[in-house]
Amino acid sequence: MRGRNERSVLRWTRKLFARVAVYGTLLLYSVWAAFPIAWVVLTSFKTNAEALTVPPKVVFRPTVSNYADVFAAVYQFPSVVANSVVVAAFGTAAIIFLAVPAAYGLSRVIPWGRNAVSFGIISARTFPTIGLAIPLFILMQNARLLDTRLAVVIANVAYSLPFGIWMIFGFIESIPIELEEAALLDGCSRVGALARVVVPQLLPGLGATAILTSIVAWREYLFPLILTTRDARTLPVVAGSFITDVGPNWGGLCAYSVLTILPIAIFCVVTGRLLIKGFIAGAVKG
Amino acid sequence: MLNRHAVPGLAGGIRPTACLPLRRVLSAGRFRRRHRFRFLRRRSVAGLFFIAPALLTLAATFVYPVCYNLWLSLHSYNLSELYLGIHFVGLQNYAAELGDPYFWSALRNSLIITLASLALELPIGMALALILYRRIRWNGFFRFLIILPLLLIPAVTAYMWRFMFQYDGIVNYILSLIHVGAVNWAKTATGLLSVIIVTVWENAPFSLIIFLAGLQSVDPELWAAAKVDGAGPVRRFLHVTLPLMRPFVLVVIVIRTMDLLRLFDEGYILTGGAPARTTETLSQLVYTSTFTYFNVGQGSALAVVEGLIVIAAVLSCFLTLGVRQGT
Repeated sequence: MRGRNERSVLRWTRKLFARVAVYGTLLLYSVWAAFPIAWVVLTSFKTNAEALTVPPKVVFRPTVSNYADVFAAVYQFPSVVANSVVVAAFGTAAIIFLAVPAAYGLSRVIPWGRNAVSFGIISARTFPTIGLAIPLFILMQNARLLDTRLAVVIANVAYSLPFGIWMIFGFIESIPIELEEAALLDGCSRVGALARVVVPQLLPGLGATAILTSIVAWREYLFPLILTTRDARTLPVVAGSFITDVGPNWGGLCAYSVLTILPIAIFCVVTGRLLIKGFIAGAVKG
Repeated sequence: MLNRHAVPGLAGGIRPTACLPLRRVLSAGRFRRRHRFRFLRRRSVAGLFFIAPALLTLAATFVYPVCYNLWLSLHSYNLSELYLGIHFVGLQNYAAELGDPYFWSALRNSLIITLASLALELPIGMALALILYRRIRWNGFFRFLIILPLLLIPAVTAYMWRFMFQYDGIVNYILSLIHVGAVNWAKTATGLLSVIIVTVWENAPFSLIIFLAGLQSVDPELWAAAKVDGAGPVRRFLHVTLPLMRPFVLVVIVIRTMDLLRLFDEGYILTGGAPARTTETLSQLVYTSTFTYFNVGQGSALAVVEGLIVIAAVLSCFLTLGVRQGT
């Protein structure tokens, strides 16, 4: 009777230890992941003089002057946001319109399509971005396209189109072929089969692809850094303009960071599942 | 339903060939093969119509620039000495690299960052995946917090961290609280360390996501069976989970190796190569050669070499980790 009791106590403590370890690790890592963001949010409400003090101030009189700063005329914040949105949206639209027929052709019509897709995605993914940026910079200079949104869109399409084709290719492969065959037998053309049979089934996949290519364009730093100077700069590049020769504006930088994090966090909460599904689909199918 | 036998191109069902004379079967086969060949060629031509727009776009925006890059790498071309013109120098740009100490230090830095980040990201991602795979209270909330760094704009993240790595910044304050003392993050070793810290903070969730997907594809009965056989949690992980996760580990290693070897944003923003270009990564080296020293020929050659290094790394990943998976 006693032995059994002891054993159950032992099991109970072991379970407790395991639980403490699991939740402890989780809590610790969450703090490590969230603290920098929280600190930046906090700093964004401090004045620039309070941003870097030893010891750091946790209690202070909050101010929104940094946010006012970000919207000051110097940084052209609204037009920078517009640039980022336009670049992401047009790039994604172009990629979808080009990639859907291409992926369909490679999956259903061309016998050697699968090999072409694998080869294309591997060569495109291994090539360093900077190696594409140098020739594009010179070509854009010759075409007088530097510092235009079009230049950034072109660079993004060049970089992400193989990825888009590869992703949509995977989604088309997972659609059963029988429906299309039926449509073709009923006298539907290939284009008709694509538009009426494949695309409706492809919509979730298209959504995931669009989200991913928009994210890639939204995050891209190197292309806009090299291809733009003033008018067509995007969000990642303009973050640098808070650190000037006169001295860094840390408060402004933090407010700016918060303004870029906020939409991502909201987006993540609203479409979290979809986003992560897209990430997995994008990464694992190779 | 579709009657497969009625469609010549789709025929695949069982046919009563056994009762037919041999010759007729053979000739039918020959006919079918030739027919199939023509059918395939016709399909290729029809397919080109579908892929033409994408192919042309890629040819103009990707293949042509890459070839142009190769061409540039064989020429002497300096934007600050345009009066000298562009002339063919053969492999001179490549030869110059081998004697360039900056190239070797950049290669060393990229390798250090890649190996250190991988060594941290993979175990962290695996540990978190093993935890979050279970039924945990507030699972969604924890996932959100942990994955958030991955979704931020890397350049903005790097600037955030640059602020926190200031000498009077919060990182040094926390270090002094735990009696490590303030660290000067502007040295070579500490600069590289700061890049590694930021990269891991940002990208550990990537391996977490992939490993979670991997764990979800494992049949739970396998764990149960191992448990019945008396395997403890450690042995269950080493002998059941890890072998099953092999393809997912490979995917993470390959993708992260490619991205880490090409790392630019974090290095460029956090250290800017300082002090004295000793923390430059390969991509930064290409950038400074091209856009600070305007030596386009040299920069292009470096970009080509960087691409070759990435390809070599990916191939070696596949060869060392992928082969056993196939058997």
